[in-house]
Amino acid sequence: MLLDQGLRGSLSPDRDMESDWVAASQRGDNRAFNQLVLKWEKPIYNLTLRMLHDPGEAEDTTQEVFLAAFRNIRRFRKDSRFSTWLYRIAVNHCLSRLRRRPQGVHLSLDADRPEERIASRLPSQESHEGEILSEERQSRVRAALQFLQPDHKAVLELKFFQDLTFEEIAAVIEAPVSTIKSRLYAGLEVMRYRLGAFESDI
Amino acid sequence: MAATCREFRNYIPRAILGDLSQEEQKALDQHLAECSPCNREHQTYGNTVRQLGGGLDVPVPRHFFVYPEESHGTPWRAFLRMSRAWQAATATILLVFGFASLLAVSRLQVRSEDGALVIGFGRLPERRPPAPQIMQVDTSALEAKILKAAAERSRQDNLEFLRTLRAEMARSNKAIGREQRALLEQAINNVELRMGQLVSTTAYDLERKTDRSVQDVYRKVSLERARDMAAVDNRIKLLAINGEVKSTQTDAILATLLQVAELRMQ
Repeated sequence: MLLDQGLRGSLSPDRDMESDWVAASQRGDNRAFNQLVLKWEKPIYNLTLRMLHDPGEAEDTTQEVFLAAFRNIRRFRKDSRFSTWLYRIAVNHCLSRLRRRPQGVHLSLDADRPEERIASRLPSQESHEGEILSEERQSRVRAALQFLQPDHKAVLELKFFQDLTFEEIAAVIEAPVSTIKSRLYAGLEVMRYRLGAFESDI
Repeated sequence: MAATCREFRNYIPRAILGDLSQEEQKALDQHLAECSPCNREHQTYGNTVRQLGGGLDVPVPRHFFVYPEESHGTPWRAFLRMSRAWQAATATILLVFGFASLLAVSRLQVRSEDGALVIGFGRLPERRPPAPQIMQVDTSALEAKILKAAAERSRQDNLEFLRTLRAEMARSNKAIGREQRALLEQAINNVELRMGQLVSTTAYDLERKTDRSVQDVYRKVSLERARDMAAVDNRIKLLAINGEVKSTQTDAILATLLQVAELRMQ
């Protein structure tokens, strides 16, 4: 039943329903909060996966993000969007994890290996050529992202993968739009040298 | 690369993200139509951004539901979740409390006073003077005890005295005249009166001078008693010596008197 409700929620992303869930969660209803989890776990997990480039760590971090969100849901004020608030928690968790890492680990060659694990763990819905190309692109993009500074990576993630506007990113990162843009173009330049040579499969 | 090209290269990523004004976009479009290296750069950026596009999300390996029991962390984890300012504030408060309680424990003094615990920090309040009313309770018990002892003792003494009288009467076997009889009667009355006075004096003393021990009081009573006994004894001896007149009636009167004295003693 929980799953059904969650799926309905994600299929018809109704802002009112989400605000109902948020309000119920603020009253301590963890079932309502789990509806929010069901709706947002995929984007948040993928965000942490691209930011941290480690499936196990991404899984832990995603759980931490939702736990932190549940513990602090009372502090969430409805003048901002729930997603903005959730993205902020996720980005901050990822950045603090990256900061705790010894320098250079995120550039290590071993970092490619978990990618293979993730690829093999993925449920292959349709195994045709496009799918394989897409998987190649996935690992290529994730590997390329590891060459970015964490701050730049966060902005690129929110812009290209979470599809937020400059203003929304500024709200998540809590920085001026001009800062967001300069980080974005600096990050994009790195990506251009890592990925520009490859043809897009889209 | 021409100076214009360098300028347009800065436009390219902004154009890709739709971050150019209409005029800038127009100028770039014109330049791209003429400049093939810049056109290639534009395509490269386009390629890059298309690769970064959507459709890359993988399914979640599991659900990340939250359960109430998980949401309660240990106090230490709660502390770690706080912001720096709150952590500093909490740590300060805890330190102050810890220091205060250490100080309190080191200066804590406990004393037992009249069966009650007196707790204080640093110097204890002055010991209260012993309450007189508490001693009064003891006095009444002590008084009863002394009176009982004194009564017992005087009864014994009086019995002894009566025995002495009888023995004296038997020994002398002399008739006692009216005068002697009156003297004897007075002597016995005097003994009884002084006994009563002594007992009430003792009780009064006990009320006033509570610090006096039972032995002290009793010793005084005994002393007085002994003096009385000696006085009476002397009187009887005197009577016996002076008693020349014999009378059969005297024996009977004396016997009655003795009976009365015996009854009073009991």
